[in-house]
Amino acid sequence: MSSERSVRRSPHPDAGIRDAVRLLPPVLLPDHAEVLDGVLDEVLCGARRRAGERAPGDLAEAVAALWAGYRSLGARPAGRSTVVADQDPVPAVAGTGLIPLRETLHPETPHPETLHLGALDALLAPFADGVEQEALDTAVADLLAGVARDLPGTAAWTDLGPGDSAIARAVLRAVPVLGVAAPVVALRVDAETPESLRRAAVLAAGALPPATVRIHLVDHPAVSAGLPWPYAVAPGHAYLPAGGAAVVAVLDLGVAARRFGERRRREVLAGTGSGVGRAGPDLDAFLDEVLPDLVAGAAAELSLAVEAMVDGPLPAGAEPPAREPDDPSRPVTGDRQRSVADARRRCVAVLGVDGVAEAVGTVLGQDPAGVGAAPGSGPVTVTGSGGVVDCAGYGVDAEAAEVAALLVHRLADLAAAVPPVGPRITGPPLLHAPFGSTGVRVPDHLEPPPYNHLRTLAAVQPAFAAGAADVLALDAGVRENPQAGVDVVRGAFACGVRGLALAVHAVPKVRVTGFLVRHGVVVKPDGPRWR
Amino acid sequence: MSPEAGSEVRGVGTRGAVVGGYVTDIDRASAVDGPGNRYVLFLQGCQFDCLVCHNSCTIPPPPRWMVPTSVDETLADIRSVEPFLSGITVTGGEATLQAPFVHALFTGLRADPVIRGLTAFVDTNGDAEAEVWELLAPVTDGVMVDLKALDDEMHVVLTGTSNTRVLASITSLAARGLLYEVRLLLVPGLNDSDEVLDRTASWLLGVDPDLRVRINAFRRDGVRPCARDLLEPRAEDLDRYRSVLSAAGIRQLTTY
Repeated sequence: MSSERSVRRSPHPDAGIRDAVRLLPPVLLPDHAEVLDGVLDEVLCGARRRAGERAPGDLAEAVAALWAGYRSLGARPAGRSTVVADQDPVPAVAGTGLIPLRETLHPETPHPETLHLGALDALLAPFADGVEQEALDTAVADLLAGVARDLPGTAAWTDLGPGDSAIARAVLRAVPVLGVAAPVVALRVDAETPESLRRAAVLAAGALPPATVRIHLVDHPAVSAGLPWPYAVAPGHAYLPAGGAAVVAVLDLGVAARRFGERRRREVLAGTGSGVGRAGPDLDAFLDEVLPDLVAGAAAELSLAVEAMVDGPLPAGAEPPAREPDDPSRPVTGDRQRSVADARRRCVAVLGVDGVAEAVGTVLGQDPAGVGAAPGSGPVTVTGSGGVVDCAGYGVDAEAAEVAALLVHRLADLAAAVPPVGPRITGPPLLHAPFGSTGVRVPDHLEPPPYNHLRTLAAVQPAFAAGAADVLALDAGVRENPQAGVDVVRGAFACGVRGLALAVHAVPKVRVTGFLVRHGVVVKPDGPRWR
Repeated sequence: MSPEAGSEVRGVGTRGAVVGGYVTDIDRASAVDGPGNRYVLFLQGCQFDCLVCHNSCTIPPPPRWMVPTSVDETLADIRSVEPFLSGITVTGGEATLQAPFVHALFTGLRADPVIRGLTAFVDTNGDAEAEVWELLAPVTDGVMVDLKALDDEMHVVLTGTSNTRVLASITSLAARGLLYEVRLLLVPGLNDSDEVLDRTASWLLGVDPDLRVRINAFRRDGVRPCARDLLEPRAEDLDRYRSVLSAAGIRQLTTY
């Protein structure tokens, strides 16, 4: 580091530290904003103290400070996670806690421990000016590799964009090198995001092993327009207030629909009801009778969770209010105290929605619980939280898409009418789809044609103001032709899709007589492929 | 056009005002048929009889039962997926055997306000007369040509046909600025020796020093039984192809 560089950059680090409160990721608990403030001490101020009151002056110091902060975060005990048992008729699961700590967003989330790294391009921007790209690549790759090495089993997330930057390029270049150990990178794109940066994101996705999701593209203008605060992309592909907090409950629509179907069948058998399996009456009844109860029940669960968190003891790992680093006897004051208060104002409630496609299957009469159809006999068979079920032509027939949109938008309307579920919670609950807009993962080889899939998502994603973990499977050809992936994502955004995670098809496809078919169809798995 | 018109439409003539195309299949989302995401039409019929063709069912002329697809029908389908596309590519079979349809389709594309921004590409075996390219050039943005073998004798072995017109097409298209890419279908033991690769690269660089070249590795998937004993390139073979072609001066090199 040259002295000239230190002098030239001296104003930046402090500004960066102040901004970091807003740039760091959302937390899940209002009072944990203070913990976050303490973490900031660890991340940046701590480094300054250790360096004799000198602010981080160059990239290496800033990276080291960040890395120390992440390691400190990862070493803390997990925040509290509350699981509320199914309560008929509200099969809600509330997972609460602090995302930057070791936390579970949902008990079924495959990555039980998550760590948001913040918007790396913005955090490191003050230190990257004038640094060679190669040095940036090395520093960023080392930082991310350090996180993966020292926090094994932790799913890391970071945000980039929408503007171009050398840091963003370095992060995207590091992803293929790190492979499955790479963080999930959310690139927010807008009209100013250069095509080359979008292609870099697609290339990074294409270079990963098949079905590995590490790249997420966000239509930044569309998402921003629906949210009153700056957002970060949190685990579960959730758009949460940057530097704020959220409390989460997840509704399983599939379970609710099955229970509804069983109840209707009992009513028919008892001679007190009719219309099982017919879309009209069942759909109306589901929309008008079941959904309001579900949302009301989930709101109650959220209120209970907030009450327990705000009024109860601090969870394990939480710390007392942050103190000034120079004088531990004094609580934080000034800008950083205002930042904490600002974070508290940005605490929201999130209502996760699961099992939409299964619910559609039930109300359209294709669920075995409803009419006795054999599982797997429908147009699209998926594996959801309710097991293997048919999804009534998801992405294939217009009626199923229409019903899915009706369900989701009705849920959004109902949620919008819910008052804030607790103190310090701003606004009504926002919908989120932690398992994708349809609430299920459609097996790779059973996906509907890509544009049908995307148009189906476009009809429902806008209702999920807090995001949806929808995955777009890309042809392996994007490795040589990333623009193809950029084109498809652009088209999806133009149709109304707001965010997509990218991954290369799990099942390789080959072209035979003009048709793209699964490789396994033409080559026996145990047969010779290479000489 | 009549179903047996495969040979009759080899030139640029049409048989009536309404031009239809004999379409075997459509891929509305292809990442491997030109730049960006592309709408791909596979046309029926090819004058080559390639030993290693993985689209062998598209070789025969259109059967009598095949109903031609109209240009309007095709354009309407393209319009329906336009937001997702960079362009369209017509392939086959051999696209230039249905040059009037391709010309009408590309002309319609350029006249349509919704989809005029899409690029129009042809994927061809290159065995077309000069007048075919005369017809298509004004409405075409790029052409991808397969070069099965630089040596005519090997070309006959692999395709049943001389490569005279193929080489002429490559030269002519490059001169017009329409040659987007040359694709080398490489089969171990037949056309993949270092000497052949080096000579092929030299010839291609003589045509265009900045030529984009794609290595198409032979795959047994979909080929006829007589070709199933041929070897597929191994990973180290592909590395060697890339190494030899790069050393010869090919700067834009991709592999499929």
